[in-house]
Amino acid sequence: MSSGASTARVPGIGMLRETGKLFALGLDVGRGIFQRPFQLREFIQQSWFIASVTILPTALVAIPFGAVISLQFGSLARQLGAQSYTGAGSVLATVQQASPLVTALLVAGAGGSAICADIGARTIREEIDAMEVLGVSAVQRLIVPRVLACMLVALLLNGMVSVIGVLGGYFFNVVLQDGTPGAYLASFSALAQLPDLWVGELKALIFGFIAAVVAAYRGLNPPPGPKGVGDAVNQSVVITFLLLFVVNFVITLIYLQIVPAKLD
Amino acid sequence: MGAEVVIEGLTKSFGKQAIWRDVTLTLPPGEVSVMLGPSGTGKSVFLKSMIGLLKPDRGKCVINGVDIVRCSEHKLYETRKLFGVLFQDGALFGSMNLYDNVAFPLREHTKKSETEIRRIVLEKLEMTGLAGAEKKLPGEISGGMRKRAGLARALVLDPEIILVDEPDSGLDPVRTTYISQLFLDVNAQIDATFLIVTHNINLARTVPDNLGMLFRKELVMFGPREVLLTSEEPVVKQFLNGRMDGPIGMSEEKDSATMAAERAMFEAGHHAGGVEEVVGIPPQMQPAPGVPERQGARRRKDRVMKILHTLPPAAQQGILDSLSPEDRRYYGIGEQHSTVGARRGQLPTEDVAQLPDGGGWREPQSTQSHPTQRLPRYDQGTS
Repeated sequence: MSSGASTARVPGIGMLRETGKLFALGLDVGRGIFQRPFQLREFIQQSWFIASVTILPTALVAIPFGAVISLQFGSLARQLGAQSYTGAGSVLATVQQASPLVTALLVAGAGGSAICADIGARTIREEIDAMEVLGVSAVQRLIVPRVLACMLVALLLNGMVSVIGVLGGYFFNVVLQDGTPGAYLASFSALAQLPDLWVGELKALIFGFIAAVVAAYRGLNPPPGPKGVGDAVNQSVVITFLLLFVVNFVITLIYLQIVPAKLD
Repeated sequence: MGAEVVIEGLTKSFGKQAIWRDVTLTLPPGEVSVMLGPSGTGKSVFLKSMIGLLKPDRGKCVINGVDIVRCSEHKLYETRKLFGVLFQDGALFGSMNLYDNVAFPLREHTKKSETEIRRIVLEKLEMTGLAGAEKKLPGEISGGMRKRAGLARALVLDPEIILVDEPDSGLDPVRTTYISQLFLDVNAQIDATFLIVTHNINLARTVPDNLGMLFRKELVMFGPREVLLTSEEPVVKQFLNGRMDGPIGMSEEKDSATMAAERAMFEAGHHAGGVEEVVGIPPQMQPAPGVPERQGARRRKDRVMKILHTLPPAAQQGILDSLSPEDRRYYGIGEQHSTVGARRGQLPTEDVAQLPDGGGWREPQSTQSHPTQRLPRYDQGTS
């Protein structure tokens, strides 16, 4: 904790140490998921809480996001004379890339920050210590249900964003770009395939996990003082965003290598 | 009977900054010990290291044969169930009311029915004077009540060791005494080992069986209360009297130049603080009438009489003076030793060495419901 910065002599070693601890917490959580008793009550409460703070903003973000992709891709496709592929392109982009990212950003921004603030406040009030001392693992009791809740909500939101994004894209393509509804719908399955949806959902799951673990880690190890909790929340969101884009890049790369693109 | 805590060579540092080095002490089972020390000497860190919340760099902390510093996580959680810890502000869970807070350990670790939990929780709340406040949230009650609720929560699992972090912080002197009385009553009832970390002198002089002091990154002394209370050590004297005159400075220890300059200032008539000279060994507080006798106190008397010849003369005198006539007969000590100065410094070692053996004092058979009987514990699965 406080030993992190003071012993750092080699530049970057502090960062490595923090990364290691974050990873260790991730492993602990992974192990905690399979440990009994499962905190069902906490899990349901947290799922409901995270869903309630993320659903509306996610839906509101999803509509313009789908529209932008559709508009951009639509005009590009028209210039190339591939209008009939408009629907195909926007579905692919929305389902595979846009919707997991939108979901994760909102889960991290709305859900993760709330988790970090909650855990951070408990840490500085010594509640976490008290719980540990009572022989109850805080990771198992508090963190695991939150991580699972984040993952579940991310998974479900991802489905919602995909639907809303595609509908938004359809609307803007048909209404503003004079696309033909039939062509848009018919080309749906021209490029996109079922694994695209699976990978989108898998990404959402992983992003939800990352967002919650980072939030919990910063919450459990806040800088000292009440201001520290504020800083920790801020950092947790920034760190999550950074990680998300890197991980997204890696997963996309792997996916494109493993699953062949569907071009007839 | 409470568990014994054996600490050997415990050392803790944050980065390069050493907090304390080579702390070695034994908390005798069932006795009340107090750890004194100026602010910032790592007393709270010491408590946290004892329960494995912080990892010491070196050393051992053995409870019931388990070394907290090095044992597996599973063992650590198991051993922690023997502890009750009272944090400075009670550390209650802010989202639960007092009843749920106190019931929390029972719900987590036992398979008791709600009616049984209710009985235990209400009993502990009653014991700590919180009957009727069970529906209140921690944010709605005073600091003293939070502290007592924290104690009630620490007590529900019938701990063998109770650690208390600054019981007097935020409490007035009267409430501090009341909570001290509560500690002694609890100790008498469940015979748990107590370690209280504080810098309250009144509490330190009247409550514990054993006193220790941390200063300059080490344990200055730890032993029967008489030893520290009669100590001529400048640090101890300064601390007990609360004066500026001495080795303890505002931030940390003083260097000799500052000390000499201050010395001159005090000799020139500057008030060094403190009210009157704190000397002697005041009588120890006792459990309230109606509460069973403290078995820890009994065992301590045997223990102290055995090591009497190793203690400094002033402490020996204090201990001998505190004995009742029956005790004197029991330990075979003549009346003449009580006259101060008569054989000061000369120890009746030969008397002490011939303690009636056979275990010394015996546990009373079947008085009070078995304090050692543990609650059936719900094992959290093997991890």
